[in-house]
Amino acid sequence: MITLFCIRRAGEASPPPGLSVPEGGPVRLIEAGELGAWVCDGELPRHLDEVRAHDAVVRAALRSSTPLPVRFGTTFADEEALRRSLQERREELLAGLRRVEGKVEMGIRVEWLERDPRGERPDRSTEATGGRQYLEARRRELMAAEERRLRAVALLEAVERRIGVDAAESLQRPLPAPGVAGVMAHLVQRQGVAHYRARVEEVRSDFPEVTLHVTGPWAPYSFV
Amino acid sequence: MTTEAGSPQGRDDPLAREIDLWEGSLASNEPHSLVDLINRVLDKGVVITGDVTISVAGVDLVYLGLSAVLTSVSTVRRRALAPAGDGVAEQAKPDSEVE
Repeated sequence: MITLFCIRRAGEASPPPGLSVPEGGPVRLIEAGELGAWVCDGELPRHLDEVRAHDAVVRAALRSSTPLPVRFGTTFADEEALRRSLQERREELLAGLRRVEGKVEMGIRVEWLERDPRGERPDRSTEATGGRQYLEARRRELMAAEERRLRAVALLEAVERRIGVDAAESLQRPLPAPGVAGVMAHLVQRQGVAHYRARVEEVRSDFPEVTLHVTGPWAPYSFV
Repeated sequence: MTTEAGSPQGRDDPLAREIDLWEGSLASNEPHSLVDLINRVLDKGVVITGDVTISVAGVDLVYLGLSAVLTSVSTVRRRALAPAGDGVAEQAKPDSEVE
């Protein structure tokens, strides 16, 4: 069994000597035509430590050029099975590599500072008094939820507009979890990360109702 | 030409500095960094239909996929503070941020 971390073009940097994964051993390169894969032997345990290790291997590749990160837990019976799989999807993978070439992914997590009613149990102590009160209370809840969603969508768009960064592509996901207005991912030029970060700092005070957490540089997980 | 992955464009590579900075942030276990990491590594990235088998405690969960065995965000946060060795996949809760 071998575990796959990321895919790049053949001939690009090999895993640096000494790069290894606990419980997985050294990371090595397998080439298949124009593609190269960073792998290790065995199957990694499904633990948080290994999730981190997976990302660390992908990031090591990102240092020299932008790879296609592979979802955690992708394993193959042997090298031959991996090569076959890469060959079958050769065109798609090469197109993916062209799309992200020279770019990295940056993320912004937008968290409400105020209390978020989502996830809390509404007070329905009076609901036993009748179906009508229940339905009205339910309707108010739904309207409040929709209002909040619209507010989150508008907020994410406003933040993105204000940052005005030359993001080749962007993804927005409103209300992913209680307390979070949204998460955004941007595909940014490799040399543009500092500028991106600086822009977020500049617009921070324009949005006093939220906290903006910048994450990355990531390999382009959200854009593959 | 093959370069070493660790030092592609010399010490002055601005991206290398940004990555160093980011690794420091990940190492400090900030909850939002960790949640973003989990969401990416487990829920995004290229999906290659190979011999993918998700095995948790000896039970194969091929169809359910990783997101179904994901822990809740709050559990992840708790585990980030706990000693290494515990599995993220040990508890499945419906309030995971990953869908």
